[in-house]
Amino acid sequence: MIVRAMLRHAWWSIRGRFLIAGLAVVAHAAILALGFRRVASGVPGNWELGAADRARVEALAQVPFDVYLGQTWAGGGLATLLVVVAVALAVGGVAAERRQETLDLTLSLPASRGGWLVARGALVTALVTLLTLISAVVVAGIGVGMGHPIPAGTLLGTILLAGVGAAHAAALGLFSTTITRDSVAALLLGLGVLYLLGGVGESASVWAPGAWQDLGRWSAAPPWRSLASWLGVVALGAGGAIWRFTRTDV
Amino acid sequence: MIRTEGLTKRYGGVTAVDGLSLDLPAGSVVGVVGPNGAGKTTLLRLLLGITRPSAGRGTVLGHSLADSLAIRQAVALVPDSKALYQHTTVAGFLRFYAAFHPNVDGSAARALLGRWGVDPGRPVSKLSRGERSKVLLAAVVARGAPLTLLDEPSDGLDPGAVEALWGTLLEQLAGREGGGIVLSTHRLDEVERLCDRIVVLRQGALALEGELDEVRSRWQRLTVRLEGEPEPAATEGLQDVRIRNGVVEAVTSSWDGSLPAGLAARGELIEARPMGLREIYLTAVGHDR
Repeated sequence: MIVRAMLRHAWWSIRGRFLIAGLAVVAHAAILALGFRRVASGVPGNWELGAADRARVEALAQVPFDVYLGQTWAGGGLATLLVVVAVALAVGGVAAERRQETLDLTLSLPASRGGWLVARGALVTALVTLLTLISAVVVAGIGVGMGHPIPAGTLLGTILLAGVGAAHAAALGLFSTTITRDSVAALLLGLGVLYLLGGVGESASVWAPGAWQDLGRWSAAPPWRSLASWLGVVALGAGGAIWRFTRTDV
Repeated sequence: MIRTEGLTKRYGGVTAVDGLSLDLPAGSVVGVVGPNGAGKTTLLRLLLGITRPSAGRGTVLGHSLADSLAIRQAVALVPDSKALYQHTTVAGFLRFYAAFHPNVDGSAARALLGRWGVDPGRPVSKLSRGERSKVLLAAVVARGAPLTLLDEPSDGLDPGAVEALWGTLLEQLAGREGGGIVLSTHRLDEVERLCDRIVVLRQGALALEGELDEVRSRWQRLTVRLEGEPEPAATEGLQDVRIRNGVVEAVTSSWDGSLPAGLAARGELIEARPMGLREIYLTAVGHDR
């Protein structure tokens, strides 16, 4: 009962942002999927492209729909979009309720401060996974409409990894929101930390949130290394957020 | 009900609550008054564990202040801000509140809101401050917590609504077995009407505490005729002392029917006049007349 109420409380403050994110994700998926027809037809004669770009587009024109999506959707813009969405949904919440003057009311309820943060993190993770599912339904639907069905395993892998990556980004978003009460500053801080972690992950050959759709990256290194890095960031992010929020005077 | 020892809260260089030691018995209805910035809201936040003390300790309903979760399970709050979550309706808020407090009587809350003219179907974002107050009060009254902290509950209410609120509070909250109410307010008429104890804060420190009747009988304005020049020690312990033409006017906070020793030796009591609560309050907080 209390958990459901805490999730509902988080939802109240997230739903506007979630709606905007949903529209962005659907538009992104539809544009990419519908763009396949144009890409598959090769480079139009009136396009002025450099040799490298021309070669890339020509190469893309030769690939099947699911491989095209793997490069442009799952392994491309969707990852970046979902990272931004996860952090944007995670920042704010109870830690920033002073501005709405509801902080004393919320903190007078019999729930731990850590509980409020965990509820928000869990909801963000679930919502980002749901957004990926919606995006997958859009690309799969358009693919079927164009006569290019996509293997269910590819979509499922993308959705699962998005959920894993969302937990990562949400934990850092929660942490950054306990550093600064300003939501925009917290968003920028969270994205900055994720960018740095992505770079570290790249050089250490482990999976990082910036590459969360990249199944190859996940399996290229020993899986325990990626798992350990993921667990480490989630634990440090969420644990740090709870530690700071329970000790900060509000 | 509430016991504190040296309870202190500092925000940077500002001391909001300064070494407060209180012992408020179970079942009391306590009025906490004081000028703006005296530490009333901070005291309520400390008692509920919303903020942690910088020094000192205390218990609320037997729970240590460190065990704030247990306190919040037993204590209800109407906060000073009267802010509610904007993205829901009155009924939605009551359902949300009831999820944390299963003993909330939903029909009692709706009945109170009906009596106070607040439609449960209205969006919270459309409510005035006074209406939000009523929603919070309805939720708290319907919960029937062993201890209720009310921070300026009548703020934003029209006189008719204040009367209705007081009637409801007296009817439903006062005199609970083992529990009580702490009412932070600027309104002394509210204290006189609802409370049986008073706590006066001044710059975070305790200026006065006691049962209302006892405070009224202890605080007296004395008029004493002196024989000869008064010695400084004669008026020690008295407040608001004025000496004119051999007559001393002063306030004592410990009247027991006889003059303080310093004055008794050299003076004759002309009058011991009981003081109104407003006069007692102004003297206690050091307000210049």
